Amino acid sequence: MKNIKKILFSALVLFSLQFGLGGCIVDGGGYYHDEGPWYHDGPWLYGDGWGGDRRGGGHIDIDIHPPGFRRH
Amino acid sequence: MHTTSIYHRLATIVAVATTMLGAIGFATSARAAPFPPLNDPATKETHPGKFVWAELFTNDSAAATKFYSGVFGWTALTLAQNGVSYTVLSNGNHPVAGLRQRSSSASPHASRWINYIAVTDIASSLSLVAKAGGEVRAPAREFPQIGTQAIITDNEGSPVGLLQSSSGDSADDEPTPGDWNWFHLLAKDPPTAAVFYRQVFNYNVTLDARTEKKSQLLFSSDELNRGGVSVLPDRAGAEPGWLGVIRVDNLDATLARVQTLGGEIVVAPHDAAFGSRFAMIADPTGGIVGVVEYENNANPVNRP
Repeated sequence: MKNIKKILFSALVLFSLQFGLGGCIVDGGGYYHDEGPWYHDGPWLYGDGWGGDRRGGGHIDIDIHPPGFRRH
Repeated sequence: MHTTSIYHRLATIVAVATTMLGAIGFATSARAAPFPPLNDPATKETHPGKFVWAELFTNDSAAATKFYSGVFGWTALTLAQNGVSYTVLSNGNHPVAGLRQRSSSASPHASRWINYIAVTDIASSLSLVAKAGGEVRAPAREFPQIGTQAIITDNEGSPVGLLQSSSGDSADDEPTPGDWNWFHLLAKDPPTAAVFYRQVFNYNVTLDARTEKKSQLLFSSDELNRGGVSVLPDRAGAEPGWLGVIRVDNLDATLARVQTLGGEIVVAPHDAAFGSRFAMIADPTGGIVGVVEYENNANPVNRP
């Protein structure tokens, strides 16, 4: 009986550690690095380039090319 | 107290504690889903000069996610780490764009799309930027599963990204509906702007001989057109910048969804070259893209 309990407890401990440590490993390998800001926000990143007069449709005189691609 | 009883109590405490740790860890691992590689499986191809990634810098990722998912059928995977979110948008099974949450100190200005050009040696490319009249805005930084990214502004101040992919570049196959189809630079002085891109990205720059717009220039690499540049239209508020264009199979239906989901039609749909119909739209956060439909859904081969 004692041996069975020991085995069960040991299995539970191992199972829990596996998930616990596994979660920590994934979380620590994240997309964002702690290296400070990658960029400084400023006018170069403002998206208002078509503000003001952009409503009402209109026309833009450019040709949108289909991109090149290779036929297989 | 018997030794056996003490052992049982200690074991119970350890088991309960580790079970709680396990549950927390499991929940954390589920929330921190891994970033999907741009190319899975990785390719051994490199196509410097090809536009291979796009990111929307936005103050409202949730609104942008809802819009682009609804309009283009893209699926969204949001990663949240260290209090910052990043959403990957995929067309079918391949990632096509990322939504990058701006920092809390960012201004309330409209969202901005940054389009990324493939490079094979990002340090070497960045070393050419200043001499060509541009500026490095975000230095080279490696991001897991994507590769090394940087952002610059060209000699007219238009931002564009560089990406040295860690999973290779995708093959030059025909874009399907929902894929980026074309990238166009609207510049004050196209010939001068073209010099910058030739110097930094080693593009072959040619006059567009296939359309009536002789002032339009084409950027090509691997003998394939990658993008174009033409004069910025004389519209109030218009500033130089790159425009990414997404292919759709039904322009009218797409524009109807744009309006239903709170977007705007910035430039009305109209016929364009190569049997296409084209329009420009703004998402509810201000990000602007083009949309194009080809007649009979045919996308003709176009080489320099």
